[in-house]
Amino acid sequence: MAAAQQSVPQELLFAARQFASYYGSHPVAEVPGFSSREFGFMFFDRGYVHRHVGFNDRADLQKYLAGKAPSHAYYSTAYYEMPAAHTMAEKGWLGADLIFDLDADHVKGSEGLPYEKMLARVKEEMIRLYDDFVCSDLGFSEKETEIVFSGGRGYHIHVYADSVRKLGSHERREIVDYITATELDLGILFSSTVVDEARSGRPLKMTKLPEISEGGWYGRARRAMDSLLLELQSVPKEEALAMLVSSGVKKQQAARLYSALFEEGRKDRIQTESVLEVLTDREEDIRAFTALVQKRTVLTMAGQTDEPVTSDTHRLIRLPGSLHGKSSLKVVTLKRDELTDFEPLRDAVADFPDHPVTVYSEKAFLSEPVGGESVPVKEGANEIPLRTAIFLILRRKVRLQPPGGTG
Amino acid sequence: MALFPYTAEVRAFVNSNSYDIDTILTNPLLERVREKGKERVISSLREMKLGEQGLYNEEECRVEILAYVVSRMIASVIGDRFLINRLAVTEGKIASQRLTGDFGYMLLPLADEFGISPRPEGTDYSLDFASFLRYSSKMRSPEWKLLYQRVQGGRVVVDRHRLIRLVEQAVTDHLSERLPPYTDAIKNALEREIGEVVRILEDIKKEFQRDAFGEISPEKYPPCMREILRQIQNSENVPQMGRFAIVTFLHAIGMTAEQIFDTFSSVPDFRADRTRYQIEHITGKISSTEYSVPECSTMKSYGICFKPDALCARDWMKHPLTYYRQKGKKPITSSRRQQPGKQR
Ligand code: SF4
Repeated sequence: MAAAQQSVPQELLFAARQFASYYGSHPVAEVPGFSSREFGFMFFDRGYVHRHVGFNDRADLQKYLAGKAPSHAYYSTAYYEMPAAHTMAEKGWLGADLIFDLDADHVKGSEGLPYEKMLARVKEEMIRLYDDFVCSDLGFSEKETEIVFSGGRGYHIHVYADSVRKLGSHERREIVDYITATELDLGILFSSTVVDEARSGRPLKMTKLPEISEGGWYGRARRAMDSLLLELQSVPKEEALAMLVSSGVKKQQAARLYSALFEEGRKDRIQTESVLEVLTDREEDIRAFTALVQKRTVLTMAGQTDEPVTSDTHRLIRLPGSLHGKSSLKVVTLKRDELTDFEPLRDAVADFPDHPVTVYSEKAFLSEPVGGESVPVKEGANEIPLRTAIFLILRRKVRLQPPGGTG
Repeated sequence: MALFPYTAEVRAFVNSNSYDIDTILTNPLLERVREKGKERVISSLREMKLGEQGLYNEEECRVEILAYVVSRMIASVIGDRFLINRLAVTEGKIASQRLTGDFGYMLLPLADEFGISPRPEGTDYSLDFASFLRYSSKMRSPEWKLLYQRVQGGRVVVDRHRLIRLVEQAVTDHLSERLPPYTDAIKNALEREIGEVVRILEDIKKEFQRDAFGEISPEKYPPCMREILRQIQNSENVPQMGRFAIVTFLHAIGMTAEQIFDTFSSVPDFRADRTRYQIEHITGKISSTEYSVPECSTMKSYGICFKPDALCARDWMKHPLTYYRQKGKKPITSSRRQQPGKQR
């Protein structure tokens, strides 16, 4: 990080000029409850967020953007009585939208992938989050929600429904735990009744399995169990045993479970009677089997979302229509059907003027396909389209000066 | 109406009958109302009940409603959190008893009153998940977590018993959050009543301290709790209900959140952030309500009544805290065994 007093690199001044002229002719998106929102900005020449800004109307905001060319623009998910006040007490919290955030930093399996693949992986999780949880389980309609590409490495979902505005942090965390199945315990989902409290002190348990059609994690756990059974059945015995062992079941237990399920026909009985104890009367085996189903449920069905973003009711989030200062991509609002085919490097490229710029690189490489086409960059000077140049400059891959030149 | 005196209907009634505050406070004819209002506060404080209520005719109902109004004024002027919460919890409990008993028909109207708006689904009910969360988040037991609800299309399905519990919470929240404004006029007019309540309040607070369990004695822990502790300390996978039970238990016998945290922190794969949050949440440090240790029957149905011993086998043994209290005492004599509840 450059010290505050040091002069600002030419590249950043260049980016700021481009952002300023972009904002001069491209209005940002509308924000519901505009005048109750706090805004915050980062600038190319400063390392902190300038918060507590309020605007009367969009024209004021637009003037600010074009005049100051911030590198990043945010607004509050919360609604305030006095959004520009400097303390929370004075601001007067009125409620907040419900936000979900998925970012490559948190999505499993996106580590170390190239930019495009990484975004594709995040999108896949995003679709599951939106379809299975936000719409299907939580019941929000397309009208009440907005999907937003962050311009960087992820996506957000904004839920604008009145019903969720007043939810506190703890309630929002409950929603996250629900989506991510955090600490899911099948012991609680599968309700047991003690059939006969034997005097021996060892009560007889009967555990009712949920049906596929049941809501929430009940149906999911059952579907996970059924698919596990199907999978085990469809492979040769040795393979099935190996599968069981690799998911943590002891060898002997695996053998007992396998023969009970598939050689004594208890698989079908479990499924038709929906009672767990049909499997065996060895409690440890039942426990092992339950643990197996639990793992499977979480592994195949849990959603992902970044917990702190959702539970923070005073968060600042990227302003749709603004530019991302580390990529120059646009923060884009999407409908669900647009999400499926959305390609950030094609669809979120800001509309910069169409003229070439000379940039310098220390080594040769092929650029990301900004605007659809990859540009070969060679060592030394290159003339490339402006939109690619800004992207590469902000990602610190090229400079405006030959190496060794002063900044 | 007098049974659930916090509804909009009651507010309208009080206003329409021109019972302005002044009349309630000073009219000599309403002396009985003020007396009853005070009694209402005192019996909430003492035994979490409301005291005698006639409610056989209109006049008695009117007195009861106004007494309720007075009780809220007294609480507001004293402004003591313990008192306010206790009053609110009492009203919630009474509402729950009435809804479970003869006044079941009031369940849906009352739920509507608090914005829950349940829809009957067979013998169950469904409600909007956000309204569910608003009240369920006060209940620390894992079975109330959203994760364990049947959530579909934005609605959560609950049985009648749980719906009543949610309404109870709604009543409690509503009453502990909203109090009539403090005024000097109230303070002066009800000086005598307020003085009496304050004295009793002080006594009860003292009693509470005396009644605390005293020194913590691990040798009195019931077998279930010992086993859960052992499992935690050996980093075995303890079911969520088990962790909940042990935290509530340790808290109930007088451990602070810090002490409980220390008990767990020796565990190798201990997740400090999450555990701390859970403990603080369960012990009421983060939100305002505390909640209780699961009963033996609940422990049994979650399979965490580990290794019950001879003391556990006694008829009257229904709660791990009873075990803790009784352990090491002389056996309970037969006369004391006649507790309300199961008879054999
Ligand atoms: S009977 Fe009650 S106290 Fe005894 S082990 Fe079981 S749950 Fe614990």
